[in-house]
Amino acid sequence: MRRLRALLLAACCAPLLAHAEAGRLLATGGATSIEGTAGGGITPWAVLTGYGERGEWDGDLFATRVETGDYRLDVAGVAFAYDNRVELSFARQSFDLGTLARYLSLPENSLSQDIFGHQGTVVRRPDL
Amino acid sequence: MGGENDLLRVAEDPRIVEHFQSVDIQRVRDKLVEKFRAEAGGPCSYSGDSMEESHKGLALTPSDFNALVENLQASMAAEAVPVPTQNRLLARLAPMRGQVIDK
Repeated sequence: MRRLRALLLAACCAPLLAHAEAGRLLATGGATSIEGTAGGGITPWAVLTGYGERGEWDGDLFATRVETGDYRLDVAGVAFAYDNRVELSFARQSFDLGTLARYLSLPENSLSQDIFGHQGTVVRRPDL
Repeated sequence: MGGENDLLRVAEDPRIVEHFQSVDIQRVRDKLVEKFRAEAGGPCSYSGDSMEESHKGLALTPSDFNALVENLQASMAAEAVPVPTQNRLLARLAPMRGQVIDK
């Protein structure tokens, strides 16, 4: 498993193409959720990653570590958005069970899952 | 608000400067200031063309619109206008977006 050097409880988003395709206003890209979609960090919101406006595309990379003392969740992923209308994301989550694996004699000491995400605009006002 | 830096900010913004190439930039600046002051509740009244009329044929995109919003925010920040106050002015200008873009 790839070791991540993220800060404790920190989520960092790195815009992929910040200047060429950056028509949207500050903070309208939200914060990448732990599943890879643009949102509020924990859950998806009605925002799309990056700053691409109509006709533009943008994206981000992120890495997150959440550490509670007993468990650790590492997440890394990438998301792209186009035309201020559709977003595709991928995230790999790795959940370290810590001491629980030993106490319960579990076969693995970590669980992983790959998450493919899609957010899109269903209905848009004609002037937006 | 209303110093020469307003004019410079918009005229030097590489994202939208091309839209001002063939216009009287001084008039644009004066009318912009009039419009903002009128919307901010000042004694000014706006004497320019309607939003649709003055943006007709430019085919402005949402990105163009947002660039000007950012220039306005930067001008207000430079004049130490508090963010809640900035947002109140923006809230009055936002409904005009539909008359400005895609014309």
